[in-house]
Amino acid sequence: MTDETQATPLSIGFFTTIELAEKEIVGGLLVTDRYGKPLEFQCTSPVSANKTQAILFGPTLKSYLIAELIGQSLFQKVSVKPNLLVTDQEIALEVRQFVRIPVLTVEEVAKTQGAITTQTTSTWRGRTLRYHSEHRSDANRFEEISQKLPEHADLCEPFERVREALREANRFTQTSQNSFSGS
Amino acid sequence: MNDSESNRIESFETNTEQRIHTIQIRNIPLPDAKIFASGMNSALNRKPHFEAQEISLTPSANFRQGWSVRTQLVTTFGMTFPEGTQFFTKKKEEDPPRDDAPPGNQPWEAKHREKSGQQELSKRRKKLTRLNPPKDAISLEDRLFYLLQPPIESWLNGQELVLPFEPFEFQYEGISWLFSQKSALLADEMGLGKTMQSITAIRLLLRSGQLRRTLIICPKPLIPNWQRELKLWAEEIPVVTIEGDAVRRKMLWTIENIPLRVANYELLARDFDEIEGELSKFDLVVLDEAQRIKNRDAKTARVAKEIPRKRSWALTGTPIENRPEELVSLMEFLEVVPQWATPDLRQLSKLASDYILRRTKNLVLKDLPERLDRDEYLDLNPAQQLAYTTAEKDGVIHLNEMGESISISHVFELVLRLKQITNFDPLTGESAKLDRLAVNMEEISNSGGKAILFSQWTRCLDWISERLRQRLPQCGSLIYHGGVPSKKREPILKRFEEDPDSHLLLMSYGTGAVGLNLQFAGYVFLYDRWWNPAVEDQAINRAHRIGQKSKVIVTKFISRGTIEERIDKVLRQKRALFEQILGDPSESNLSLSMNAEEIFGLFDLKTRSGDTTRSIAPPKAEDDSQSNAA
Repeated sequence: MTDETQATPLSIGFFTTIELAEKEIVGGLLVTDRYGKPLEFQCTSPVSANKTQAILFGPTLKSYLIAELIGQSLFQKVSVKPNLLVTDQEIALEVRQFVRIPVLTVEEVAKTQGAITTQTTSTWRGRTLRYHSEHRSDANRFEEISQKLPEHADLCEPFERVREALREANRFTQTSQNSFSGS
Repeated sequence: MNDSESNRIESFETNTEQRIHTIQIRNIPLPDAKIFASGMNSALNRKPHFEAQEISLTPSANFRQGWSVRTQLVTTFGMTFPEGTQFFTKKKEEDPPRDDAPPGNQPWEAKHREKSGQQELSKRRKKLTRLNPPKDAISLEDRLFYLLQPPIESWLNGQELVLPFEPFEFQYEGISWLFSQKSALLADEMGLGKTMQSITAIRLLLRSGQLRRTLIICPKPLIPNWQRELKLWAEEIPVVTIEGDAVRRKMLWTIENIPLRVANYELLARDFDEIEGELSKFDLVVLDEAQRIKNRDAKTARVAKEIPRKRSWALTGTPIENRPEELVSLMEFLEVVPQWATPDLRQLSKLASDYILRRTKNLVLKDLPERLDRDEYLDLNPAQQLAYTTAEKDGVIHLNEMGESISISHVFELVLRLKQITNFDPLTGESAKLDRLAVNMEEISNSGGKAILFSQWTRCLDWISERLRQRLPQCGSLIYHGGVPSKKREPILKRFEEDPDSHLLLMSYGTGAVGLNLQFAGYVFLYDRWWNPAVEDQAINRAHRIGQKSKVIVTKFISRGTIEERIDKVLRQKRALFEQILGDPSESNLSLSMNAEEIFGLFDLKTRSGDTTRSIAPPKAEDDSQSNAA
């Protein structure tokens, strides 16, 4: 489990993944300052499960790949350790089991399905936030952190950047491979 | 089954410790059966014999293959971002909304105070301007650097980067484009905020650690304008203006830890050879009114191109004033063509699409108040008419007498003399234009309006000012031209804006046509006509620009039956021609200037050779730089 003791003045990690063709998954973690200015970015190469993993992990395979394999690796890799990890995929919330900082998922209230009154769910500036059921104190920790966020902070916006960067990295890799094989 | 059989089986089952042992069956009765004589019957009477052997079982099952969950190694790619400059501008919570805020551009902070939470967020989510990697960004790191930057809007939303007004959508796009470009020619039409877009892009680049040393070069009269705009749009950036004597200038050039320097073209050409080493290197050089380097042979152009720099931006509303070749010099500065390159029109067009961003008012400012152009055809006053006719007749006779030795400058001299007479008769002081101006200004002054007037001659401006002071003292005219010392110019503009008794600003085309923001003036007078409609447009756009709240009435004085009418006709024909070919004439100012052939054509000049006469005109291919220099 990674320690967050070296965390610098408020920084936030935005973690998400995208699925490529052939069921490959790439993940990206963008660490920004409280204004959204990028400080560090890490992304993985495409990850996919083999047949054995697929059979044995069954329905928990995606959670394993996204949270444990990709999320944990990225968090270990970043040199700027964030104070808060935000994801836009509920399945990625499991990464909380491998890090010692609060983790939450964020989505627009309008898109939220189901009740948002549970102990692990709250709303903040038009966004629905969810916390890991085994780490309910994360809500309190986020409350403290949110006091330091600027008035116009938008926790959803950076995911568009991360996804675009992941697509660009994938395009770049494919182009390089094609050039290499072409030559 | 009988009892004895049952006992034996029971005994077998209960003896669990000796589950498998030799079992001896002594008396197993056979069922009654008829035995046929077969010769083998004795065998049937033999008792069967059973034997069992002990077999040991393995204590656990064997597996063919083992598998356990091991953490797979995931390859990662990462990058860190430059630290950048942190700004700490205090929020102006108490600032009242500015009266001169552009339409739709209310002070941003005030607007945000009014709305908050979800309402404001949803409003902002409508449109976000994202940065795209420039075409010359090849490495993945470079491309990701741009893609991972926040949208321009959210940069500017932060407490660190406060803007006095919210930019228009096209301005966000311009800022974003400049931010991503190492070579950029921002050629927005006059009045669309090139200065503001440049300053904001510089702020963002400073903040993202892309810039440490920036140099802005502009014409000398625009230095106060840049200082004012920098104070308004980027008050936190320390700025040094290069000025003073040689010793002071050297100190200002070499002083360290100054992110932004502003210098004029003349001082750049004079000083830059003296600066050596690292201090002469810049991360960004911005040329304002970049058409100043259109002549690639000029020292100013040479020096500007020699400055060691990482980024090159050029700003101009008229990238081409006379000939497409002028664009090549700008492209050389942008370092996208080699020095002394001669790209053809097709190549220039391609370069333009990659490195030029041009928007026109018609395209982006649907809400800008209308501009009403009025051509005032005036008959000369009697004394003026006499002076004009005499001068023209004498002048043409003189030119005809010159025969083959006639040159463009001789014709030009006559044109200027005639134009001056249409402004006023130097002998009697009669002027049809002044009479009309006085009438118009009386009405404007009485209604509290403000007007700017342009003329080619500073002497004429002084004369108008003096006459109006006598005839219409309430118009409170002020003079702004090259003869006014630089230090006095800014206070004049300030007074014109703030003094309710100042209704008229008299400006020369050369000094007042570019860079100034006079959008509080609702009237523009062109007292005489310039040679190039692009320059006239520049002048008019001092008033007809962002921030203008009412219609701008543009009055062009044209003296009927004079050289002015002929010049106007030629310029109209050229405009119409370009409209026909290129659509909106403001899209291109190609060759709108009058060339030598056209200036000769203003008169019917002939030379006599024996008994015959023939028209005099320069060869078509002749360089028209002299006339264009006008």
